[in-house]
Amino acid sequence: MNIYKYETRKKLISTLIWMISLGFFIFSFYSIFETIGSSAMTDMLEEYPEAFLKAFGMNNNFSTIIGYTAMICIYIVLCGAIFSCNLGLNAVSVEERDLTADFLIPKPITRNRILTTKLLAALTHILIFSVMNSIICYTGIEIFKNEQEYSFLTFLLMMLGIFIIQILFFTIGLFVSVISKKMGSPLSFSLGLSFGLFILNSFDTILEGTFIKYFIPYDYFEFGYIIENTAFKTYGVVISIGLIIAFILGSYLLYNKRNIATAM
Amino acid sequence: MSNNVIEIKNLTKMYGKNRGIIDVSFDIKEGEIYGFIGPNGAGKSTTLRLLVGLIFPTNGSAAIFGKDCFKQGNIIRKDVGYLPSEVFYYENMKVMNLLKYSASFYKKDCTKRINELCMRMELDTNRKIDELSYGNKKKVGIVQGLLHSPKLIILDEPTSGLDPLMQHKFFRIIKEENDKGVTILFSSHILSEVQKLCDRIAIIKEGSIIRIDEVSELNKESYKKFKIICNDLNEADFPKDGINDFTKTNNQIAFIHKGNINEIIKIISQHEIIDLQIEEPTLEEIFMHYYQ
Repeated sequence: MNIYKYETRKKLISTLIWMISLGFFIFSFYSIFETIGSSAMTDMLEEYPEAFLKAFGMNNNFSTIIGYTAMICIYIVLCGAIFSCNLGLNAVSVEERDLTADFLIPKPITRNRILTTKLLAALTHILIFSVMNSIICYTGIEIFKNEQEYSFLTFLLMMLGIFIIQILFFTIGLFVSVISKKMGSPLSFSLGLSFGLFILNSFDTILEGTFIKYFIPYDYFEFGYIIENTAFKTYGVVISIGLIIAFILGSYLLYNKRNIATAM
Repeated sequence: MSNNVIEIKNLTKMYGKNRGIIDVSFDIKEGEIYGFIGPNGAGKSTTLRLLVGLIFPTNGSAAIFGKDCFKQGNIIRKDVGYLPSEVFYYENMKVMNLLKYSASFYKKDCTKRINELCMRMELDTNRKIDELSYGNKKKVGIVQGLLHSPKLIILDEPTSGLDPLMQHKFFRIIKEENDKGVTILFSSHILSEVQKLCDRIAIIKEGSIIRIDEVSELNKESYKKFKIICNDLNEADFPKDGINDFTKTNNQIAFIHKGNINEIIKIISQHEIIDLQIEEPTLEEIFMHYYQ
């Protein structure tokens, strides 16, 4: 429990900063819903080529509050991916980089316990991140929806989708950190991975339904699909849960055999 | 039932193709102070890091308190205190918070012991760790390694970075722990340190143990350091075997001799001597000339 408490507290400020800045962004986005969602704006957007709109995730109907939310969610999911991937990359590797592993591992605990507590601490942060986002979005919707009706279930599914994508990115980060000998710059890796897959996702959306989609976490929980069907894509759920389990198991396996590098 | 606290058998660790340690075997008895000596890069740290579970061996086995280090490490480590050679801690923490965090891993109340150790090591527990000098960080490391009153203390180069006064205090604490029955294993490349404190030593070189002996035996082996002032003695007068580090400046001769001292006395007695000194060489001098 002590590691969990320490780990959770240590990163609280960083999570808080993420929340404040992202929350501010989300809220100000909602506040201009009326202007952007107006017919003049949507008419203008219709002039743009469809591929362009798709690439930037603007192919959903902006005039509905839920379509508008889907567009905002693209930015949330991108931030969430960076945030979570970074958590995963740092979870255990930070101990080696700061050479504090020499403090922690000689304590009377198993490697499994170290990893489990770190995992739980990170999950707590991802949960805080997701819940806070959902609350902010919900508040934004309720204040600025202009009497529009919308499906609360769709909204919840979108938020849950983001949460699962974040968990997936976290486990990818964790796995990468235990297979690599030494983690040099975690932030650039998580930025690279998150944006890289995002760009790939844009290509995939333009080209429509290539096999690439199976490699892109963003596609597993595509918001347009959720709005249309009020459900997740089956393959998305299967692949993401499968990958999460595989990466976690792999991380446990490797971390139990890992040789901790020295200062030299 | 053996009363060996540590039993290491044919332990080998390779880092890819690079040598860590090769086929290292030794036992440490309960209540012993055991020195682990060797030049830098010989594999001292590798051996100690294997014992506390930081790295895993390529081959061989190691047991502490009769339990396998690599399978039951978490149980063993309840009674082990470890001080790494390089101390690094969570930088944003205050010293006291770090020590409390460290204590929280052991299911006992360590507050009294923390306060006592901090007072003796003159450690200010309200400072932040990143404000501390290297020597002070080392002190935190020492307190951190001892606060749960372990039965086995493993220290990797414990005195580097400490001033002589602190080194002295530190050795007193170690000696006191040992008097309570605690087993101590520590590595060093400074032989005089080991000579003063240890019951037995293992000498490691290039990854292999080249000698294990009691310090008293090593001292007994009749290494003598001669300093002679004489006008008509030359190197050629002495036997080649057992003489090392021979120097002659003007009429002053100095050398270290290993073997029967009477041989030398007989040679000297045939000459007119102005002055003669026979001393115990330090382990360092012995090590330098006989284990290269």
